[in-house]
Amino acid sequence: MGMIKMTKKKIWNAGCVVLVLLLLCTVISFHVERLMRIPVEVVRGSQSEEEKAMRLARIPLSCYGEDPSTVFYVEEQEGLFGMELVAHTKEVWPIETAEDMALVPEQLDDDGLPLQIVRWSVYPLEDGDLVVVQEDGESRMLSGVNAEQLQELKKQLPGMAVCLFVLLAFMALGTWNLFHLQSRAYKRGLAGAVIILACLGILWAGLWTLEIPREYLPPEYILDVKGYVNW
Amino acid sequence: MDRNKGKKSLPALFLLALLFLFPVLYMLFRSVYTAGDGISFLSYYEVLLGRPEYLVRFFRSLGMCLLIAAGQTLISCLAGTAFAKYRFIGDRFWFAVFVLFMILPIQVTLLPNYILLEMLGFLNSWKALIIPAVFSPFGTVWLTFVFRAVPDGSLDAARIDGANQLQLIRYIITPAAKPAVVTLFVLTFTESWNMVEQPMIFLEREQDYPLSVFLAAVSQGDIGIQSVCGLLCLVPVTFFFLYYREELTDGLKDVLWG
Repeated sequence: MGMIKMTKKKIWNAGCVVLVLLLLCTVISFHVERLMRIPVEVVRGSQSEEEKAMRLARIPLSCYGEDPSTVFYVEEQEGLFGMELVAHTKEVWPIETAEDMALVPEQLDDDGLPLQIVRWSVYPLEDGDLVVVQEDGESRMLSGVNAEQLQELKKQLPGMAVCLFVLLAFMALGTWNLFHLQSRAYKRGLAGAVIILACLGILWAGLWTLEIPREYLPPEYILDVKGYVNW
Repeated sequence: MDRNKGKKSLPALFLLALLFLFPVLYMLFRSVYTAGDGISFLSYYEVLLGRPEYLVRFFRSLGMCLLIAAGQTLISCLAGTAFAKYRFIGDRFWFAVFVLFMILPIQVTLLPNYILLEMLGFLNSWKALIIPAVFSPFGTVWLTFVFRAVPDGSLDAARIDGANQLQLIRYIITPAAKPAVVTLFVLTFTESWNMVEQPMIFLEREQDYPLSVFLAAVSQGDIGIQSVCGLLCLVPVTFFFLYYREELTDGLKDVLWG
């Protein structure tokens, strides 16, 4: 009987640790996804009256990447947390090019509005990438505003690391208290749950202050060490 | 002699266990191995850190299933006590109705449930999944059989001591049949965790789908992410099975062999 109780306690403790880790991952992953969204600048095709009548439009040549016939456009899609912007590819052959502009067939979305075509992005896009529209994205990057922002962030890093360490210590304490729920110490267990939720709440709110310019993060994965080394 | 016989059957049992474990082992293998990249933990990164949608769905499904399991256990304890310990007009008839509904396949009740939920305005919300599941007849029938074995003498003694009806259930009947009640909780949780038909019919938006249905649409073609999601799905069920192993064994034994 004692052996069974001991095993139960171990399973309970392991379950608590896994649950807290998964909760922690949930909070962090929300912010990782936010940070990893690729900033893009978008344009809508410009038209003269004559072009409008012929269902043609002009877009900047910079909309085309390596593939001379494909552009990326941004579309609003319903995600788990509301509407999110997703990049998709579309084959648009230029009819003629002149002065950095390409004359193309008119591109409309489902509502009949001109498509938001990507003119510039920090990293090369792939179909289905989550993006965020930043009207002055390119100028911010080139003017060094983002570099200054990163320098400011670097100054705050030690403080952030200390706060994170304290939060993790409190979460460990909360998890330790949660272990005692199994031995019917309800008050202690409840206190543990409250500590964990409070820590997660603070972490959630605190991570909103973390704004790393996208070009200083690796192209695909935030944990891509090679990306940081190369940068 | 018997001991030797037991030892001889060990390899066969081991092979059988391996056969049952094979899908899990394969999933574990595919979660870290992709044909092109070899060993890689990118799928774990994607599910646990890269995008929150998997874990958010996991916790939403977990909450829903805990609510269903707790609700059905509570309702079944109350209804099971009524059928097992009280005599009222039509008790046998109503119990027969419960048994009848229990043996009906889920596909038969889907349409009436859909019409009823539409009338109540519960469609396209999680109420459509929770409420019919909480009032499922299986638990009531199961606990009625178990509660019948609880001696009436102990209930009479508690009544003499001043216990009311709810106290009888809380302090006498439920503790006496604890393994069966726990087994019902775990089985209900597992059933709702694996729910597929109801969300597909009662919910319109893909964003509302629980993990069990969403799993089918997870990055089709990316077997690594699918495997990690599959492993994530195993976590709560495995926890409940390991934690309540003794109660499950006793609970099933009580009902199957008395």
